[in-house]
Amino acid sequence: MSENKSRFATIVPTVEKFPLWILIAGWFLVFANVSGSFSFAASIPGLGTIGADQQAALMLAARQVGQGFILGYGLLQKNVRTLQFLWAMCIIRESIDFAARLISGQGFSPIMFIVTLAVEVAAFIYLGAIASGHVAKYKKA
Amino acid sequence: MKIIAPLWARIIVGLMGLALAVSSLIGGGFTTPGLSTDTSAPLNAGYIYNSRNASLGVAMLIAAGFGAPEAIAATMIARFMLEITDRVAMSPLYPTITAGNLLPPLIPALIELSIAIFMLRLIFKK
Repeated sequence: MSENKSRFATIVPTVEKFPLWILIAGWFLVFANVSGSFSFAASIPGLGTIGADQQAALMLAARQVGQGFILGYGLLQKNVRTLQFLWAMCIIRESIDFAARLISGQGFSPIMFIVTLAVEVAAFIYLGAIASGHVAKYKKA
Repeated sequence: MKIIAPLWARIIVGLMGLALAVSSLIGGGFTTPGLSTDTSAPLNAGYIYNSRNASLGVAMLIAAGFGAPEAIAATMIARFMLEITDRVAMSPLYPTITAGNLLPPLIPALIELSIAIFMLRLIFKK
């Protein structure tokens, strides 16, 4: 009798090294988060930095650093599922930021959002494939 | 041996993550007093703020679901940092420290710090 196994069973829980393109994209995003934090702390484009505006700028800056910290942690740890779901976190953030761009007319160009989202979705799918054992290179003997 | 975080910690982190994600996605997360979101820059800031809260909430939910102490510690440290920075950011609005304006960020901050320390001890004890 064959044993029923979930399609999402983790065959490869950890890897020696993540794919280079995921590392490059991931650390670039950490860099963008940390540098973005400084620009938010100084001033969100279009916002003054007094009173309530200043509070909003500081709270946003803190959230930027927090996101960078968690993604950096995931990149240093070798757990495939953890990093996969940290990319899910990035996709959620990026898609709402994109919606904000469409509504408010502020922020990066839509093309930049689409390119970033595409990389994030690709990283999420590829890490899922690694964890599920579909990428032979990462499958342990 | 794989270490799984205790159920009580997973429940607390999961509920906090769920609250953060849901409140952000329904637009209740941006509560800076005195800031009107009628114009584009504050509106944009409001969305960006909510998106970061929502994604961190989802990360907490996932960490709690998997029960990995390392991931729970990372999300709790990030949340603790936010709690402290939020209080600092509120300083111009609340120049005098009272129980009413200190306790709301302090209580969750202490819970988050306690869970982070507990997880780190669990990780290094293995």
